[in-house]
Amino acid sequence: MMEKFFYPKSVAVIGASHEEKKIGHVVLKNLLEKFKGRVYPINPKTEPILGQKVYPSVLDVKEEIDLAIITVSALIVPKVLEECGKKGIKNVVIISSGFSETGSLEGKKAEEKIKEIAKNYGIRIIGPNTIGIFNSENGLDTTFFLEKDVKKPNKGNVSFLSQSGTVGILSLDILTKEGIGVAKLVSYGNAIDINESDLIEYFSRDEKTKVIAGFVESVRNGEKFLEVLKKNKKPIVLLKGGKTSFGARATSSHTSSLAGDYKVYSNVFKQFNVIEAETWDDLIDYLKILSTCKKANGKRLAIVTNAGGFGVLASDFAYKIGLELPEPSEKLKEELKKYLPFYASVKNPIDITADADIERYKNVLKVIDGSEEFDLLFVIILIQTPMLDEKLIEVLNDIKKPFAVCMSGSKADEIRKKIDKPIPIYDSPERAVKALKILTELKS
Amino acid sequence: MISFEESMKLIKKYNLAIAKTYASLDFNELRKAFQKMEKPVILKVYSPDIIHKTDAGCLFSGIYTLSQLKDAYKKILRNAFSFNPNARIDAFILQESAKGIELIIGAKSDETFGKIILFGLGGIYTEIFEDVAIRVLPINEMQVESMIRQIRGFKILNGYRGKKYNLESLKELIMKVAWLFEKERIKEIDLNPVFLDEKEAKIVDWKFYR
Repeated sequence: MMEKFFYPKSVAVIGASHEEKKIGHVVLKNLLEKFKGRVYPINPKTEPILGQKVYPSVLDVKEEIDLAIITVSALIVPKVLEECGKKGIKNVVIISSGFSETGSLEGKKAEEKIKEIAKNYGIRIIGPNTIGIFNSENGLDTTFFLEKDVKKPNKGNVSFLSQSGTVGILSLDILTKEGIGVAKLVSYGNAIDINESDLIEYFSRDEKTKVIAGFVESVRNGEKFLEVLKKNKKPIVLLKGGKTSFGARATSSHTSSLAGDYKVYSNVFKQFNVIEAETWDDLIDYLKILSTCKKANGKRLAIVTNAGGFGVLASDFAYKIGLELPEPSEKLKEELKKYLPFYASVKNPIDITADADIERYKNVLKVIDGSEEFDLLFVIILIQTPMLDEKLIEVLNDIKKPFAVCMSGSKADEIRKKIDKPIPIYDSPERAVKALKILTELKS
Repeated sequence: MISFEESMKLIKKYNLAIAKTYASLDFNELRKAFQKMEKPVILKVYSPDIIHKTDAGCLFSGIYTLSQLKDAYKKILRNAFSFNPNARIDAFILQESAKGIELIIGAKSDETFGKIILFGLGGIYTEIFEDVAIRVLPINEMQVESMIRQIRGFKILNGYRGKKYNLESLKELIMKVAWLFEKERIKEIDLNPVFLDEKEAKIVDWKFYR
């Protein structure tokens, strides 16, 4: 059932518009440019749009339609949905807003109406009030944003679900900026049918998805949610919106006042192996490392740095959050000394000093990477020294252990823009170390 | 809140450990029990209409002598009715002074996820630190263990400055409460405080809501 949402062979855009800035136009334009499948623009005004033949209704299309994207105003949604039903379309994304999210009685009624139609015809719905679906694999993109305004990510292994459309669209852009590849993204809006549990379930079985990420405000069906989480074997990171509850009722019992909504969510996440991102920054930081690294087998961290100060900050923070920084064995120290000047420190952090060149990084990283004494590797690079340039990045590509990199400043930013492979690079030592810790908490 | 009698039935049925308790409405009965108990003791009221006993002046601790007991009894009676003239008083409770660290064990039905159990620092720390762990039922022993380890206060429970706490006894109590909450038609449970020392975990104050 869910497969047709992500891999349709043919798509109808209902409300495809002649006006360039209308949602119905942008959706059509994006699909025509990238989608590998047939596209049918639907509009009662049948002058061609972007050179395409326009059909007055889905009922006028002879071929089968796998997926319909509805962008018309809320008032007309019931009518076109009914037509979808008659045409035998089973999967529909309703982008249109003006339903229960308005808080109005009319909105609520309109939503009930479309639920009823969907039920009569056996139609599955994503939305309404959504940006819909993005699939990097086949170019299916119902988000109504143009490439010039929102960067769309490369193919990758992260799949993202978001109740909120704005978070959905921003994550596409920011994940792209941070070099994190995306498999699929869905914003599910008012979730009158497909909700977070359906999507997590689908992603947990989807071959292209390695990491599941999401922004969730509230869970609709708690029982199903827990069931799906129990079965899921993939790393899943969730950010909960609505952490403070203004509507908390005054209660006499301690249990009720302590077990507030967010606290229960946060504990449920722990119990069912969901990594909770407390902030938006955490979410992006965790996805960066989860999409590139495997689970760490232990907590022993090696820090390799050419910048003493950042090395200190990193080790302070690593201790604080419960990572271990063992000193290398005598044997390993001897090995390291071969590549280091006499004034370098071979304790941990391994300070390869500010005059380190690419060769020195390469040799030291190779020794640490091949050693059984550490589970995690953190590489700090003061890229601003005259000894270093972007060629150092190639060295990082060879690392096999779970690792993170800290490289910051304007020169670092310039270099990062040119990197085409996903590498977990962070601006600050603390953020990198926090992300590394996540790898020690994975179950599989 | 269920009556004192009903609450005792549940406590016995599930073999929940409580601090040594003697209950009666009659002062003479209380006096007899008092003479046999280790001092000091606590005297408090069990009333569905008085939830926060200390705030209502319906709990006195550190009672060593008979005259102190008499005094406490009179005050509680007066305070209870000035707090709520229609208060239903099920019993006066005479209780040993429990020792150890104060904890809370609770259970309720969450709107989204169903039956949950809660554990954390209790007594006066309950509201200050809100240091609690929550699990959806059913739970196994391993999950109870992870729950205990999750709270920030675990460092204290795990032994601090030579003090030891019987964590096995605590685990057992949490399991029993979880079991009770799954089986019985109870809406909410509030066990606060539960005292834990090196010997055992004992419930000092209990409230079951139906």
